[in-house]
Amino acid sequence: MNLDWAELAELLGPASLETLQMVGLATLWTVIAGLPLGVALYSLSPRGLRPVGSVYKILGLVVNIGRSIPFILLMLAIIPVTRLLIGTSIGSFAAVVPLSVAAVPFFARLVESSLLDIDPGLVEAARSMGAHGLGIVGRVLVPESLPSLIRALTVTVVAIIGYSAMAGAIGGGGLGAVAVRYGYQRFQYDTMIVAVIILVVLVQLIQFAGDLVSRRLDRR
Amino acid sequence: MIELSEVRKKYRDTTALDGVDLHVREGEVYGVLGRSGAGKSTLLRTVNALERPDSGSVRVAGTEITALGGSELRAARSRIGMVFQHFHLLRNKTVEANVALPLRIAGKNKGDRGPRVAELLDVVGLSDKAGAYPAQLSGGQRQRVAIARALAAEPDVLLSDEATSALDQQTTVEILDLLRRLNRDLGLTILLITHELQVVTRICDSAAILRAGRVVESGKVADLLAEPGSELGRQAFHLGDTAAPEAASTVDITFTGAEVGEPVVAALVRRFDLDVSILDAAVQTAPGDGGFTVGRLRLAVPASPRTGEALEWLRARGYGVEER
Repeated sequence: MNLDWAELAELLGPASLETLQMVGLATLWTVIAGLPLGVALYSLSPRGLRPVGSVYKILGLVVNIGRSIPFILLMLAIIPVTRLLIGTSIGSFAAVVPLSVAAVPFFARLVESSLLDIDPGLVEAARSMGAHGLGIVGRVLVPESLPSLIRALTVTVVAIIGYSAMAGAIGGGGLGAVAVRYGYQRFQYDTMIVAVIILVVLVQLIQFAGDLVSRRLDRR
Repeated sequence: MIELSEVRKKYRDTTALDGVDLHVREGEVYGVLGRSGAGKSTLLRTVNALERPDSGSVRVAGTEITALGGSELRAARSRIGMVFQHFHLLRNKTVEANVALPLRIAGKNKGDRGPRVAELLDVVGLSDKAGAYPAQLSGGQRQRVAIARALAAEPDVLLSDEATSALDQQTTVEILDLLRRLNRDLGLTILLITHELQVVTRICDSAAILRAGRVVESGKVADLLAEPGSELGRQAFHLGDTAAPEAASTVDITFTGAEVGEPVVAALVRRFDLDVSILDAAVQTAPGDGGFTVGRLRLAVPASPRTGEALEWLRARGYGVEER
């Protein structure tokens, strides 16, 4: 291989930043929307704080539909929504919309299952102290499942990175876009390989950080 | 302090509570004894409305709990502490934070919580463990943390759900003695459920036996022990099935207080010329002030014309006599 490192840095530096921006923003929205949705799924589920079978089933169906649509199709399908929100459907900023839409139901299910792992006795104990629903969520459920929630978030961020590369193939920005453009369309495999290596390193770092934080918080 | 009347609860086709009446006086330790599946757990949970009865009345300190909802119910619950068999502590929080939980739920600010938590940890003897996590504590220590937590909001009543059932013998005794001490020192009314007889005979002033959702016997522990034929007495003295040989009858004699130590056997031999033999015997000390002692003696009394007369004589002297 005959790499021009300066040129490569000029290309991949901004692309990496774009990826981080895209993934970071999508993660933020995923937590903001996915955590409450996961708590709602847990609360309404048969073993939850306030079981309501019918609402749980409808919500579960919506979440499952969101999770079963292939990302590429989802991205294309919600282009009108993206245009409405961002003004364009091209670029890494626009890609945040489909990335969040895809990751929210994924993360919500993981949150639900983390919360279901908590001993129902703890919830009963909090009830016996006179706690109300939100108090139980805030003071018992979230603190107690925090290590598991961090692991769920780690898995979600890694999934978002994977999606973001796919988004790059159809109009998004970032490392995925570079890898596809240079590797697949121009046969500059060296550029593609470096882009992929950066993605691998990014995923490793996130997994490592997630494991570390989760272990630190876990006192069991 | 706690009054249940005609409480019924059904789960699909099983009846958990079948018309339970229970009266717990202020300042006493009341034990509900029963096997698993007898309905104890459901019974206890009706007191703080973790379970809602299908019918009947549950009153705590004069308030009808079944009529409460929303914030009124939450306020009532904060006046009722509860401890559990498996402690139910937050495992990712320190001892201190666990004990502070009810105070945070009650909206107490940090400045008020600190001194109260320190005081509670002192009461249960865990001041040096404030910063530890539950995983670093023994079972007995965890239950002490749970007890401190249950007392944080200064409840009038403590509910105990098999609090010692997951603990070894030595630790069980320590926790029971702690509960008894809290009862005396704080005037705390305690309602506990257990399947362990020793919990009742060690710390309870009153007790009820629950079977298949019904109270089959209830009263002061001392009275129940002294009463011939009582279920609690039978379980406590545990004289089993030992029986006299043919041509003799088996008689259980129950002594209370001062009668313990009287020469009953000698009297039967001398006075009535009955060659009785002792099959089994046991002594129980009922909890409470003065340590009320009750003994039971199982005798083989040979068939004789004077047997009936002898038993009458014992009854007249105040012994409990039960022919088996």
